[in-house]
Amino acid sequence: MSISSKAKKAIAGGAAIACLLSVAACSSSSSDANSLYIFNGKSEIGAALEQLAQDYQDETGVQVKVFSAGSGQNVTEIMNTEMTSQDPPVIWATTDLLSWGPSGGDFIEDLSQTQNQELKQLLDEIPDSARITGPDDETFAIPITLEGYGYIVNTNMLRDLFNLDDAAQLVEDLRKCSYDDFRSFTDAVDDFIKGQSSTVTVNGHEYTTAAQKTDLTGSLTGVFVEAGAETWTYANHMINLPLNTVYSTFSDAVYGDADRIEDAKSAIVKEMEVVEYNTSHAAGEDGPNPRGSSFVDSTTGSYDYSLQLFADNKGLFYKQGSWIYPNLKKIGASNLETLDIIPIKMPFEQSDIKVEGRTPETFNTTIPVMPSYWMINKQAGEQQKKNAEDFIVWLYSSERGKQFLNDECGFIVYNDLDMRNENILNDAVRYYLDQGDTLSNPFDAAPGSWLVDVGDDMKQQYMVQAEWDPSTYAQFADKEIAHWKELKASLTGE
Amino acid sequence: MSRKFPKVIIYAVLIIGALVTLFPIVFLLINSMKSQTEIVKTPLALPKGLNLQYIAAAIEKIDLVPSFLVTLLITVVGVLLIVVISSAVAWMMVRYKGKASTVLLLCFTASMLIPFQALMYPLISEFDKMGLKNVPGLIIMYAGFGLSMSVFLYHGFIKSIPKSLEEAAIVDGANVFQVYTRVIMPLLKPTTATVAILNGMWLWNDFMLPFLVIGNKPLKTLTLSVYFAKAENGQYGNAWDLVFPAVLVSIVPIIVIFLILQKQIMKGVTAGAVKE
Amino acid sequence: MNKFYKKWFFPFVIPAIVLFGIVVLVPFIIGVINSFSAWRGVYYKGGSNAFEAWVGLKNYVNAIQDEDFQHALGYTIVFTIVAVIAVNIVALAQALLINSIGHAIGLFRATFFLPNLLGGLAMGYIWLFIYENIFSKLLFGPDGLIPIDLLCNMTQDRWKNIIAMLIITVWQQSGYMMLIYTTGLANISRDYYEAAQIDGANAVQRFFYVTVPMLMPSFTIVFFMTLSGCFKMLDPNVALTNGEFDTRMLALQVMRVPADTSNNYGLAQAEAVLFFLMVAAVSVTQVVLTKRKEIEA
Repeated sequence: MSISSKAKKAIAGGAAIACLLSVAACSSSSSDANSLYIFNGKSEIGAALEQLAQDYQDETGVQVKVFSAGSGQNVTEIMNTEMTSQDPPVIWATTDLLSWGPSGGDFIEDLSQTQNQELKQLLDEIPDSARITGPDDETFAIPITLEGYGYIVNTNMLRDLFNLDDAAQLVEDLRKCSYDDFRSFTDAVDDFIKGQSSTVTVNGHEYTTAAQKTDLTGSLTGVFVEAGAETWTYANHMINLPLNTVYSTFSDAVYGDADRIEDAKSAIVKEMEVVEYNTSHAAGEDGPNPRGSSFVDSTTGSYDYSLQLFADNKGLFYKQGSWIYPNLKKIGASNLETLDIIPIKMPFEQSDIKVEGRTPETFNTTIPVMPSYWMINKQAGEQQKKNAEDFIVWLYSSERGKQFLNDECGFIVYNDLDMRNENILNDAVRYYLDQGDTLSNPFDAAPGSWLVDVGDDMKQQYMVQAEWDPSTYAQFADKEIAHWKELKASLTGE
Repeated sequence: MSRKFPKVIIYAVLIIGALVTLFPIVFLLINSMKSQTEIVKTPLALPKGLNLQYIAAAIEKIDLVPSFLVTLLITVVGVLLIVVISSAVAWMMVRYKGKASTVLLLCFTASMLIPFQALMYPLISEFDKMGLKNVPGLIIMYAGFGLSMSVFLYHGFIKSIPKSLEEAAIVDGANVFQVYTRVIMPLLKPTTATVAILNGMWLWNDFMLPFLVIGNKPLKTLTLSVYFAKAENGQYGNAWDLVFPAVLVSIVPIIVIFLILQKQIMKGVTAGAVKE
Repeated sequence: MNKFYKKWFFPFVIPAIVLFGIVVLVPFIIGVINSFSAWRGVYYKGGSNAFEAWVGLKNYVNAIQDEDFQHALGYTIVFTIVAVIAVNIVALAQALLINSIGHAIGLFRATFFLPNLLGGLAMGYIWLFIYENIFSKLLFGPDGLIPIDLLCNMTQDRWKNIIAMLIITVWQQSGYMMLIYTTGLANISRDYYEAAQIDGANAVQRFFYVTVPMLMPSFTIVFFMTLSGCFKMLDPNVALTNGEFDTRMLALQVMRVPADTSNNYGLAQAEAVLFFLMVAAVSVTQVVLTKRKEIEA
């Protein structure tokens, strides 16, 4: 008796709340034409983008809705459910051109067909390495930032290591030197950490390590800082270098012949040698960080932990990208002002490289630069697509838009490389862009779970092993090559 | 004497068991007051005093109050719907001996075995088309999913209740709603407690369904808030000084409710499942 | 009187049927249909609906041949067997031990039951930290209190991870199952024990010849709950290894297919349907078997 009357009241109340909520949900929905829905995959810019959307709405009256999906594997699920919804995102991004592009669901608008002259102008200014093109020369995306990666180094550490007044010349030599020079250089640093001084020649100049350790150099426990739990640090970014020997760009790797991957075998074997060297000279909290269980565990092998190690000057080189600057700043790193990026040197020979115009020097003197980008949903309404184009043009032409890209997000604005922000690593990326062609990001075109599987294989077969058997590298390369072809075939062969 | 000695051992075993059981929760509590470095370097050490800054940061990060309220709303309304609808259908299924009842029981029982993964994508797109990819829609989904097990529990219990009470009420001129609310529901109290607690716990802690329906909208459930706080702060690693306090904050309401209602909850979870 | 129930049958069951239809039945049927098509989650490849993109049994053939699926199946079976046994033993032990003492009964029951209320994903993260930092380093590591290799780095090995998930499962579920056994034990009349004692049965014999048969109804419930729970388990799997080191269980495997195959949702759906058929087969067999045992006893 008492239950029932309470229950009735509660149901009535619940129903009322539910109605209110659904009314609220409807009124805030942006299914009307004069709106724009942005699906943002970079969660770190979420808050700034919300604010930008609000300001744009105040200025133009176009309702802008922003959805920041967070990170991790579950983003695929969120994006897919959003893309099937009645009110799908108009601005979004994917690396899966085969599924979403013309050969699949046809969700990517060809921006080159736009009537908007200002947008056309913006497209013309995209550097080739950052251009995302379709099989019929469509332009699929506009870069919102350019990011590059390599060995991040604290130049003050270099200065103290070699007792220099200024590290500029050494940085310049490290940017230009060959693989062999770099290897003798890292050996010398390793000797220094173990307490021995030695002299090396880098790019024709001699350098001698200091006889005494300073506060700064005394904190070194290894040459490289590694994050063993994060497979993307040694799978995605390292295997991207051998992929660059066979595929010139991201789009080339998407649409190019899958069999070309076979030619990457010798380069993958050499890449493994480099990974072996780096991970066997890894820095830890109080001493070397040897490969094994704790190397890959989710605390001491995590990205955050590695950031901390680098911020504490435990290692000289940190294989990471320009995106780490805000994270280093957040944890209060003291070496923020003196960071630079050195190319990841590879012992490639000309015979390993199949992409025309690339030489061993290309790999040793420049870094991979890749875009983060936005696409327009081809299947959105005409008015919404127009809103998206207007918004992008506004983003690149208005003061407020530039302030967002440059100051708030700390991005490299691709068509205005002179704009500067506090992220000093962007300057390093700009340096390589100014030098000419950079390496690209074919790894983003890896089919299905390939990168994850490569990472798992490396972690399970190698990172937990103290000693590696170099004779297994060829087998490893064969396995991953076969896997690439198999996944690629299952995507295209329907 | 021979009976006394083993009792000491039994107590010892149980106390050790209880300490082990409580360890993760105590561990969570002490590490919610430490910095990332302290957590990683000295995980077992007690915090240096009552330091609430990490908990305060976590409360702010996961929007505790709105998240708590929306989770509470979803849980309460969802459980009410499940209780009312499943008790009504179970009652009729037991009392009306027709083919329809058998078929329904079979459907409900079989559907308990369907893994969520088998229908999540069609479900979400169907609800989106109905304009229900939102909190009310989420509640409806829960009501639908919770139905099977609840009907099963109610059905088992009602079978053991003699018809005579209802029949007497009907002879006295009570209409069907009066019979349902005044005769049936009071008899079903123990099962209702079970249904409410089991479903309540599930709705409160669930991750996948709110993740697909709500995602990273500003107003989200507690579990989702913890997930996104973790995802956005340690982009690839674990910001333990956020994860620990955030998890702590998200389980405190449950522990408080449990401490207040522990007798009812513990009786409730088994009352419907095991006939006494 | 039957007329009365007949008259009110449909009004009372309609809400449930509608709800069940839109939330479970229709999506499930659409899902089954999609499993026979080249469904890509957002669109159908080669047509505008499932029938135009029909591929017949192809997804099922691929699913059965999928090595990841086979591995996940084997892994899930091993884990389920071990976990069901462990949860039952621990739960029954807790119930019997607590029953045999006189003080603080409620306190012990509440303590053992508490973990059951906590979310599996959130607590999974905490357990991961405990395994890596307390188990692997302080307690059982090479320099730890008692070096036991089996309990170190459990989340970096396919088989050791079973132990890691087992500990969480026992921690979370045994308290609840203990309550069910406790209720079952309370229902056993003292007369049976007295009769057995008069017949000269010792404690062990009394346990196997009185307690166990009389607990059969509780066994059925506990088995059903732990079996389907373990078979469908997801949260600790995600929190601990996220499937690395070949540790995917079936639920995680099904969820990861789209990401593995660039959105081959047709294949994912086929694996999900197979998953459902297996859960159904296991549960039905198990219920039938225990019911038979129950009657015999």
